[in-house]
Amino acid sequence: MSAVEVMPAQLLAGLELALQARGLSLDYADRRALDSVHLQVPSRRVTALIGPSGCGKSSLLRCFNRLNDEIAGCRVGGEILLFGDDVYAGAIAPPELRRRVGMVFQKPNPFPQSIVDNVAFGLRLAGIRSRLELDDRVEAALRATGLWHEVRDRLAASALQLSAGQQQRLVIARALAVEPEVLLMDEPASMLDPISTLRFEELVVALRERYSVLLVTHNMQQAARVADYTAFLHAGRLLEFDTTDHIFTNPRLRETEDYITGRMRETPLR
Amino acid sequence: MDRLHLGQHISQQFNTELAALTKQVLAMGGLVEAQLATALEAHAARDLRQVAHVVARESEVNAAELEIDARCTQILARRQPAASDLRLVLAVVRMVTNLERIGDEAERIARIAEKLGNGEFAEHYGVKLAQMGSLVRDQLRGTLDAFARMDETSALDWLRRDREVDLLYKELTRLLVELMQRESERVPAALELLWCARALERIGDRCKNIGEQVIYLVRGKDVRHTGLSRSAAPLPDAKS
Amino acid sequence: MGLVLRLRRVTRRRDHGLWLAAGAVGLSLLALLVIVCVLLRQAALAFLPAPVAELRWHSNGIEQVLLAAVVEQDARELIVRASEWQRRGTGYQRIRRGDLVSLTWPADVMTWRLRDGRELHWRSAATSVHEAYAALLTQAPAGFSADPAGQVDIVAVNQLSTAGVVRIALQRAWLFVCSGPQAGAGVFPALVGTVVLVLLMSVLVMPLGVLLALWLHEYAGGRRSARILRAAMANLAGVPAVIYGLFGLVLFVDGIGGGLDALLAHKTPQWGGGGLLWSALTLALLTLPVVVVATEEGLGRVPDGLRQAALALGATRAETLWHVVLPVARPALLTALILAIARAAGEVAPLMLVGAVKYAPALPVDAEFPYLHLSRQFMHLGQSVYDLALTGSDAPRDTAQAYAAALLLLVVVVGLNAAAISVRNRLRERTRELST
Ligand SMILES: Nc1ncnc2c1ncn2[C@@H]1O[C@H](COP(=O)(O)OP(=O)(O)O)[C@@H](O)[C@H]1O
Ligand SMILES: [Mg+2]
Repeated sequence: MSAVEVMPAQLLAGLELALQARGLSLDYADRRALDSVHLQVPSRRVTALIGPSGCGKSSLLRCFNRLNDEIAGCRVGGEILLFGDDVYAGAIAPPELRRRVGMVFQKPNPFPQSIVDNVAFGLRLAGIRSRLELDDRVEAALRATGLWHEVRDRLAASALQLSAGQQQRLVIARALAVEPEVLLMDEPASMLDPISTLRFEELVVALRERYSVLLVTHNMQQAARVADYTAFLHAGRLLEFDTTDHIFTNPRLRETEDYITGRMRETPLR
Repeated sequence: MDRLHLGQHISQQFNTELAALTKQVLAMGGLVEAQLATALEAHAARDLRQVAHVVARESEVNAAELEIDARCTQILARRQPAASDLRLVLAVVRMVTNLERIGDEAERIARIAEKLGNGEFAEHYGVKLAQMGSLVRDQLRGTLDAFARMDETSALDWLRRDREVDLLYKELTRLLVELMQRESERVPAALELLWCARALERIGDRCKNIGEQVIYLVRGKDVRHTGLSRSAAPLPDAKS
Repeated sequence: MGLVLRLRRVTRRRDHGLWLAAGAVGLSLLALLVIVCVLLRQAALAFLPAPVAELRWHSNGIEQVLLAAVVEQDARELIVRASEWQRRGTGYQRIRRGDLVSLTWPADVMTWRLRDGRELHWRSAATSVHEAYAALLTQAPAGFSADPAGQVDIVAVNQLSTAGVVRIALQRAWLFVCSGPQAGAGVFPALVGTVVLVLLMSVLVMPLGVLLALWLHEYAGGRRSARILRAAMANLAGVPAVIYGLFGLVLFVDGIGGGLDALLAHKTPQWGGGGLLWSALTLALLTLPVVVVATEEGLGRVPDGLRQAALALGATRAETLWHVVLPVARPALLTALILAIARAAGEVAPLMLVGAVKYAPALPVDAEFPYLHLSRQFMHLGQSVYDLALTGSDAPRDTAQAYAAALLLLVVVVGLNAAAISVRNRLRERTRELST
């Protein structure tokens, strides 16, 4: 399945591409999780990645920051480009890559440290020692996630005391602090209550100004609300990529339609 | 019926809701069709009881519109439908508005039959009107049928046949204008007849709207204001 | 009233599991209580001032008079301990009940406990130590002399109030803890030796054990070498402690120590004999499996999300371990330490082979550079218990002191554990919200 087949021609014409997967395949020790995936993630847009559980969304996301490298027996084939640079070619070392491509996980995972130390974690790793600069950038990151006025009086308090919604925004602030170019999010709102979810969605839409966001979500409405583009992944293959409007009103493929409208498939795909 | 796989949702409840919705729309369509038929018969037979019948049932049509609208609102709020489900609900909302208007026009036709009274226009004006009436009735039935079968090509056919109605309407208008110029004492009756023809023409247009919704529903393409009914072009790209 | 109600509510619940569990808890608590009571009672005998009787009896037709503490008695005879004018443990006598004429408890008996553990009894109504000492000299056998400064206490033993008895006992117990064996039976060097040994062992075993666990859990994964190492650990945990002693003797003392001596051309063996370092290393080996297993389990409880988060922020694996995994696993590391201390502090057998001695001339720590003397032999509370209980010259008193030493060992173990546990709880508090 080539890029031509999964998306309408000219869909991303004129847009800078933040991430590109070309003929990407991924094998775990005992199974193939991704099969010749072609995906283009435009810069400064929100792209949603939807698909049934186990279809390989997380695996695909982990390819973009090479987090799969940490999994024993995991092999990646094909190409991944970050603003044109081949990620797996060795030109970019994984830690450097991961600073440029931040990631937010399903479960809010702040470190059991103070709020400040959490946000400053990546900065310290990057070798920033100056108290002044750290404070500035922590504040900027917290402001970007709208958390600043909620936590400014208790920056030294443990991050674990925050609510789940706040923790998730803190984690996003932590990722933003190192000023990545791309933000990967793996079902980031699935553990949040509805109000926190709305707040989170607001944030994602705001992030679009400066970052390219690739968002995995199980919540179709969420994808519909925040994403500019939506990609549908099924059984390790990228089946359809289009504007969110298109996917949610008139998808091209029966598979996509069945998934987003919650239909049963009598004949499973392959 | 299930070209759109409406009955294949994981949620059985949703399946039932959508099935009930389409059934209700078809029932309302049937009612409106009957209203139109009765009104036309009232014209042909100058039967005042039929007129009363149409007027009496008009409220049923209105009630059906309200009920289907409420149902659609409910589905939108509770199910947040997407893709074909979303299109179905949207199409139904628009179709129902059009059906209700057709119901109104049918009532108007019936009331005109009452005003015209006995035997005035037994000659070829009445025949022309009856001809136009049966054409519109066919159009309505055919369009509703296309919806029932989710058959967008048949819907397109009926869409295009609206031109015949338009032509008949033009011809009848011309005849009536000539009549009014000739015999000024028959102007009031001729005007009533003109209103009647006008109502039938409007019904034809509304059928066209319904047909467009069927195409939108099945194809996901909005064909309103595209001049599709006047061209002979095939439907835009089919789904794979 | 509330308690009765609550008890009734509990009893009405027909929960057999609860009853069994409660029974098990009760039984364990009871056993613990019994152990502590026995130790306390026996140890108290070593310190409580014994009342002194004046005994008159016939021996071969001659009437004898003696001031002595009654150590044991039954229906046929008494065992008493009279003044030990020469050496500790020399005053014991057996007196048949049939020979006994009278047994009285004169109020004016004085007891002098000397630093070397001897006790002298005499009668004197004197009010000052000097007068009492003068009276003693008149009653002492010829040739006796003693330095009044060498006293622990001089008391009119039969006139002591209960508070006085307790005060004297506590004083003696304190002296027992704080003094060395050259001045009577004190266990201070053994106490210091035990604590230093355990601390040194901890310092040695923790880094090694934690590194091993890190390798096993974070790097090796399911590799075969890891499986082999894990199996080895499980087996090592089951090896009797004395075998570790033999192993230490061969490897550390003779092998490495001997080699070092040869290398440094020492005339007298310095490293080639038993010493603190070799003992600590032996104990470290002994406790290594415990540390590795407990640490690995702790690492397993660190949420994977934290590792991923650190990696995703651009941390290398080492940075992830150092900045995130280990800090979160700290409570587990302390658990490992606690288990290691508990295991190590109680071991005696291997130490006898690699450095613990009955009498060491110097402490392993002192004010002299390098302060910690790794090659010195040392004393150990466990060894003291063993020596006092089995090889003492003054069985009744030494046995009691063995119990006292055992109690002290228990206190040391509990104290070290309590310190570690309190630190751990403080850490847990901090990471409590971190659900795993
Ligand atoms: N670490 C792993 N080792 C082996 N198989 C894995 C691993 N992670 C995921 N998989 C498998 O790969 C497939 C895709 O998983 P994943 O990417 O997590 O799917 P999704 O995020 O879409 O639910 C699943 O079948 C899953 O069982
Ligand atoms: Mg996933």
